[in-house]
Amino acid sequence: METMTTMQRKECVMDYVMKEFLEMYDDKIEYATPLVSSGLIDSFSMMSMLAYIQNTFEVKIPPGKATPEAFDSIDSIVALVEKYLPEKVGSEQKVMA
Amino acid sequence: MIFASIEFGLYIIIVFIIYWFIVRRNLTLQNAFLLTAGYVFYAWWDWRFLFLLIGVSTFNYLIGRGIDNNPAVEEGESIDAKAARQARNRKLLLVFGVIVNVLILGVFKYFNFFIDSFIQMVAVTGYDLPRSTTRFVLPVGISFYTFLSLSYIIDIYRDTIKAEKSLMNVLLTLSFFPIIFAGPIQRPSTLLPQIKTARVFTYDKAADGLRQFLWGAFAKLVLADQLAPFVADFFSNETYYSGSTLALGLVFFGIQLYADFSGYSNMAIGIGSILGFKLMQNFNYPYFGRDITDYWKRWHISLTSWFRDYFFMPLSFTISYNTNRKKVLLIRTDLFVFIVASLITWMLTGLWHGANYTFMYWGLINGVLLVVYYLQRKPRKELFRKYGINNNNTALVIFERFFNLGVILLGLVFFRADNMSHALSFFSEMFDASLFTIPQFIGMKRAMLTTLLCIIFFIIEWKGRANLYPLEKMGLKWEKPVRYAFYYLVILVIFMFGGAHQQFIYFQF
Repeated sequence: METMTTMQRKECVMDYVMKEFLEMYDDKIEYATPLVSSGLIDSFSMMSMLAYIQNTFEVKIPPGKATPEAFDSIDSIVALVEKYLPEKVGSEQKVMA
Repeated sequence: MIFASIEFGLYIIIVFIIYWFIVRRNLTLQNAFLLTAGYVFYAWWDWRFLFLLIGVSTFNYLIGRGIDNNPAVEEGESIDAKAARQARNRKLLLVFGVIVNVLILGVFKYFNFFIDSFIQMVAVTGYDLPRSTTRFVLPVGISFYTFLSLSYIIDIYRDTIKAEKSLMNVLLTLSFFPIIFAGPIQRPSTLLPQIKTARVFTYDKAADGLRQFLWGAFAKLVLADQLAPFVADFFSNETYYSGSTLALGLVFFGIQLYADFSGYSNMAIGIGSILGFKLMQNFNYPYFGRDITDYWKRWHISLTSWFRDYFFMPLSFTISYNTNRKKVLLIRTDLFVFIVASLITWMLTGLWHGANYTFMYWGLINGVLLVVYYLQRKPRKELFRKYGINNNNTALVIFERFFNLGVILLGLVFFRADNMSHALSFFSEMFDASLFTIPQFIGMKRAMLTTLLCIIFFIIEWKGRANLYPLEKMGLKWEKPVRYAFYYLVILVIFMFGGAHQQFIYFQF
């Protein structure tokens, strides 16, 4: 998989959330918009999103870390993903360069 | 002793006086009294099972302490042999605790079911096994206190709470009398801190509890108990009645079930408030939900959220963690995880209600409905965008509410039926040409009156739907005489109609 930047990852998650979970296509959210605590995404849907994220970013989120708090915004989701990306620092630096 | 009885009235008055006036100043004494009162309440029902309750509570106390004594290890943390052994013990203790709790529930609740199913299965091959003579009696409340016990040890394992050092506090948490028979299934993380903190009596809180109890008693005694004989008649003699009468009977059952269980829950939460506790809301006007997901966020919240947190989420996580492919069986992995975890979770939610295939199918039907709802969201969005349909259009919202209600009621046939052939017989009798005739049944006058009471009940529920229970804020701004006249009117109606005294439906679960 081609290495992605943080912004690309956010866009990717944003696209998934908008397609899968927002009531209407016109509904707007920001990267910091609360998703779970606001009720926009319920805990059942959150687990589908976890599966999507693990697959898309080829990352394994450890047990106990996939909490509603960690999934509460696109910002926090991407931060969680990046925390557990294999060889995170090296790949990020490659892209930045 | 059930909540809506003279016996309980006397019991709660004695408990109230001792609790707030005699043992109030000493928290330990107050808790000891509450524990004793709870055991008396439970033993009143069936003293034999009190020992099981005490045994299960003590076992979970010890498991909790054991888990807590073996610290968890952070992911990636470098550890020595002792820490590794403790981490392993921690996990083993949890697994052992979960297995023992589930086994106890399984033996008392499902033993007869599994044995009978096994005999039936073998009979298909031509061998007739003798019917087992060992039959287990279901201890009342076992499904509820087992789930509360599981929450307790799992939460300790997850480090959400610390293991309680005081055995009495754990015994009290698992036998708190307002919730011991049929929930709402509390979370130890919210109940334990309340047990450990001095409760303060306030008039407002006690009055709030009384109002909630009153509304629960109204729902149970006036609606549920009045509807029960009609429902029993329709479901016992389905071949005798027209399709339209059975359809009305099904609506009656939907109301009976809701009035019975939400009535019980409101009474339980109300008693909790009178004793200075804040218990979890169990119903949030489920029949006003717009879709099946919305409905399940509002019905028996303490159970559905339990299954979500302690079963669905770990199961989804496990499937997802062990799946590296983009697609499984030609289905996108995220959808696959949702579908499989939902169906298993809802099948078990159904089985939780009772050892009968009808409950399992009822659970599965709801699981399928939730999956269908999940899958239709994207095409629905496309359709609405294409034709410029407003999602909040009033007519659309009303249509969807009634459609949803219809689907839920049809599913409830399985919930009420004695077995699968009974459910299918009910459906075939209901869906024939007589569905479009005027309903006719014995006791028409009483049925009309009960229907009128149902309408009044739902008007009040609709008006108060923004609150935890309809009477929570209703009337607080009225003149005092008007408000009290209203409360007395509710009490009067309860005394006028509440003579049938039917058992709470959820006590059998």
